[in-house]
Amino acid sequence: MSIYIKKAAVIGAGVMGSGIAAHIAGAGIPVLLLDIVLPQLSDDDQKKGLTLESPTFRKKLAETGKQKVCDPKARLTYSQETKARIETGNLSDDLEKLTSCDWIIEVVVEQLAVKEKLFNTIAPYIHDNAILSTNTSGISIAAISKSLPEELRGRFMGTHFFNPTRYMKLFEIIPGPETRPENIEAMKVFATRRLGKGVVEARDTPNFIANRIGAHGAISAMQLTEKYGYTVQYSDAILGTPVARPKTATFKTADLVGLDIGGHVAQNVIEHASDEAEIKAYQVPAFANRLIELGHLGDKSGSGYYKKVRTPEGTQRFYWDYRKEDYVPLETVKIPAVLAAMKARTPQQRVNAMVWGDDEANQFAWEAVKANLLYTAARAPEIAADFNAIDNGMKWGYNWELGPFEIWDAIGVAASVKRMEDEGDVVPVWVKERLASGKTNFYDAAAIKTPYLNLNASEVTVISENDDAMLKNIGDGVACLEFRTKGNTVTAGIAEMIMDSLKLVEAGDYKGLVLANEGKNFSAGANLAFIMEMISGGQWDALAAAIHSFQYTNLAMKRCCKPVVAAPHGMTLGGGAEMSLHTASQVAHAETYMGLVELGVGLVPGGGGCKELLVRMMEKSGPKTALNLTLATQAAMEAIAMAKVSSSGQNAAELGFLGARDRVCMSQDYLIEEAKRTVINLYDQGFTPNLKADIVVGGTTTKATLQIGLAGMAQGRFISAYDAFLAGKVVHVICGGDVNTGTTVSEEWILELEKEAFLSLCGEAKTQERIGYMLKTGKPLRN
Amino acid sequence: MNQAVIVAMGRSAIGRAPRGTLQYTRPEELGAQVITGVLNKIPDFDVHEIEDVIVGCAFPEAQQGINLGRILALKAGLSEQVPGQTVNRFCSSGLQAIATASYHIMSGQVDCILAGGVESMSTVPMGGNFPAPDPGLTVTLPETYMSMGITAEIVAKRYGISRADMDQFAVMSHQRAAAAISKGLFAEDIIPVQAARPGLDEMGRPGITFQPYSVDEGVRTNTSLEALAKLKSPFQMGGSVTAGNSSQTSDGAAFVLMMSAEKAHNLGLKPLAVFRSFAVGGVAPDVMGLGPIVAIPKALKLAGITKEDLGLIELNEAFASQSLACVRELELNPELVNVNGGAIALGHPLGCTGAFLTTKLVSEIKRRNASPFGVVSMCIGGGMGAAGVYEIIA
Repeated sequence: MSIYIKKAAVIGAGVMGSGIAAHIAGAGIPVLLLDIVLPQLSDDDQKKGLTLESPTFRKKLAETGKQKVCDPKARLTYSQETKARIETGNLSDDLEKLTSCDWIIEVVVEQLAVKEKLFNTIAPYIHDNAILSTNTSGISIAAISKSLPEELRGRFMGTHFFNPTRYMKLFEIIPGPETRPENIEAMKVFATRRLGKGVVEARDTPNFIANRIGAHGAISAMQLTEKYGYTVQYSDAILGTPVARPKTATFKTADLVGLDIGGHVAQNVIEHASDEAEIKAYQVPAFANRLIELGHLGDKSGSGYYKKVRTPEGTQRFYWDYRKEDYVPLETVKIPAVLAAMKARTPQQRVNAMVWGDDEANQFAWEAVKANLLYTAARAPEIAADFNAIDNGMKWGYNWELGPFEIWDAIGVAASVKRMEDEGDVVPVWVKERLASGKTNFYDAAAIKTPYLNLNASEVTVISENDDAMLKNIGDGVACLEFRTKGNTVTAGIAEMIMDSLKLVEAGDYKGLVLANEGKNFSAGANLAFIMEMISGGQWDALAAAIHSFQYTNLAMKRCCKPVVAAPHGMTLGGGAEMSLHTASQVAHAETYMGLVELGVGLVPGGGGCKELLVRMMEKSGPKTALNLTLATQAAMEAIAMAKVSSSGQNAAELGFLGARDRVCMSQDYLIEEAKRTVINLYDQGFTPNLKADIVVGGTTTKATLQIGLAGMAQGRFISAYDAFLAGKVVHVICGGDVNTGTTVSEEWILELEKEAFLSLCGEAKTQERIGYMLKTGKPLRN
Repeated sequence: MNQAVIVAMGRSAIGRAPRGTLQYTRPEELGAQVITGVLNKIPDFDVHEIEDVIVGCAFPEAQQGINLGRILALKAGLSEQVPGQTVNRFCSSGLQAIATASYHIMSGQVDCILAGGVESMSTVPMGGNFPAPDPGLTVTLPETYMSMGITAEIVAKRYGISRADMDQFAVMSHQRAAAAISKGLFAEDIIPVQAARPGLDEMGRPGITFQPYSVDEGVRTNTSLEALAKLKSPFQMGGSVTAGNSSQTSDGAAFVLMMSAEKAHNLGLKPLAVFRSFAVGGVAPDVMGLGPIVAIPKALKLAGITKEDLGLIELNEAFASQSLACVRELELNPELVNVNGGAIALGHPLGCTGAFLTTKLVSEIKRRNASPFGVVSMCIGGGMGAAGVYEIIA
């Protein structure tokens, strides 16, 4: 039986429950969010004239949770539309509404009795095919299952989200003893494709996978910090990025999570463990308990292992000196072993360098890594079906760059096992047997199979390549152009490769082309250093030629006779956005931060971005009256002049970067496959290539209207005079220059204006200052 | 030359725009109700006597377009023989309409005109639906299109008007307006109107409902210097002109029925006031708020009086900065300026304001046992000032 979730219910509107509701709603599925009716009216409620019967009062908890998570400042939702998809209610008056829900998730307080009582209450309202799940992170799924009516047990499981739900990819599925396998499979598919999560199946053991291994990693790091007498700041400098863990390392992560929460997680293992060594490994140092006693619970209480104090002179930062039991100012920490390791190009090389060095810091890192590897290996057979699940859990749930077994591969399994044994440690038998059987690594790169298309899969072949890009055959008649520059910046090499690819795809037996990569970001934009080099060298002709080439590469892509589909994700900025905007269709990941941000460095988009955004705004603007032309031009101007960057794929659509031909995809794993499918669909349905299209422009009337607005902003000092000057350049370009309102111009004419504006700005001292500042600091200069 | 007199007058309560009670009421609906109300005050008057309807409106487009004057004449059901015209001199349009009507009457060629102003800023926003400045002027004289708030900042700076003085002026405006409302001083002038609102019928179907509206809603009784000090300038980063010490955007309509003194006598109608003079003058567009400094002396001279003869002054409070600059520069007696509050508290429905202030001035002078002369004045976007002098007949 397949399940189709038309509507979900989340019960419990705390931080986690509201976050889950918002994520499911963000994926487009209506959600019913329920919580209890509070026992009494607050003073505020009384002031508002509410009574115990007021609907506003009765759904207050759920409504408060919804409002908090939907606050745009919290950045926890993809778009404001999410709000409309969450219906709030309470567990006294709205139980009947559960009958229309196909998935009901319990996210209430972590007490078995409370959960049992709740399930007892809602059981009569759950329809015959609905899935029931708990988001518990600590309570046994079997224990809960036992309390359920028998007919529900086959449809009951643990579904464990991580906070913040929008950003944490991990979704642990924990089957109960009687869960029917087809329901587990259906939930896996749903969570992966519709919710965009990374699913890991976990066994019903304390804290499941990620929290089990993660808590161990954190606590053993804390114990070692005390043993070495390091400060929390010093310890964090070593056990973060250098060992392929997140930058927030041990103590800053604890502040984020909450010290009390961390304590509960540890306590949960201690309560269920029978192994003395394991209980010892989960004992948090006294200083951690001391901080909890003092109420320094981390970020939520304003202070934890670290503390920020805002003063008129700026923000001062402190860390907790656990020996002095007081906050002391952060110091400049420079650890030679760390500096050396950080030179490595890959996380694998980094962690390898870190654990094998001779300094004390290397020894510290080794001990921390070793403790976690040994613990993970010992627990692996009990908590997961395979070691890969554990690696995924740590990467998706704890933001580790590498999972424990990938780390083990990176530092050399044989060598490290020998070192462990030399140091008197006991290495789990299965690891030794594996090693003895000749498997020197946990992973064999060539044998890695993913259920989705990945660009390094063995069946993907390289058609052609240069230093900056590769053209690959991704099967079914689709080619894929993959960037391989640092940060996926747009270079002449990429432009060249695109032109070659278009020729090949148009002439050959291909259905179309995908523009995609598997990097962290689709593209950070143009290669600014290269532009600065040409400016410094006064190579104006070469610069003009480069701009021209980029513009006409994008235009060729737009006019390709076969579908070109981009798969933007992460940062898709400047030149990266310009390329994406020129494709027949964009399949954007939900986490897409798209924007034409050139004004930040004193330039205008020079690869057809001004033109393409104008075209997109014009397409939506209706009859070409002076007013409509002006409004559309203004929308394009604002996006470019304010360097607006979308906060999500959905928001990119709201800002006009995505349109009717484009769509948002929840799963980043399946993104390239979706883009490929779009190429095939477009081709098979009879692709209509873009013709040479003309644009009706706003001309002088629109230009005057927008210029007056800019003058007002500058007079009001809301933007600098130079910002107004730059925005004026954009206005000139997208109004089509000094022409009558309603004049029809060619795309090439706008490109000409764009190029002219770009080049003239390159000669401006203030633009050069902006570029220089960005290259030096990575931040925009407002001059 | 004939004498032009006001024989009947009235106004709507002023509504906040764009989110006040009158936000859904179209300007034609609002204007027609006020016209009907004014004429109801003189029940024996035959509307066929009206020879023209002159309506001031600052943004005569869209709902306020297609010659609002004639539209209102028809909408108010005057008679198809009653013509109408629309005049626009921005913020002085209402006063300009009265002045134009008076000129016609004084010339002897016309005897009776209904004049006033209508503006629904909820319906047609400041700047109109589509501001489209002249491309040439935006380059040669961009101040032509400068935001009013910026001009107020420039005036504040040039005349050294402090933020504290502006906020104090604003608080006083609210206090005076609140006192006037609580004493019922505006009740006689206000024509209650039916405000259209979205509503549901008894079946729950969406439709239009009507709500009686008769008290000015802009006043903030509880405002204070502390509350105003917290506001930031929306016009200039770190500026001193705020929403709290600027006029409010508003919806409103006000009308006066004017005729020659002789006609009034013949019809047995008692004149309320005599129109004495009107003057306009220009100043630099970037300090448009100084317009009254040019216009008031000119109007007083035309009326043959001096500022010492003035019993009352209605000086439109476009911004506290320009109001204070005008009061100080002209050495006006602050105790006689806007005694019942001004546009900061009550609102500034652009094209209606001149007519609205006329009703305020005439009613208040009548209550006072002092000089019968009063002046209505305002600054005008683009760099102008207008002033009209009335003599109230006891």
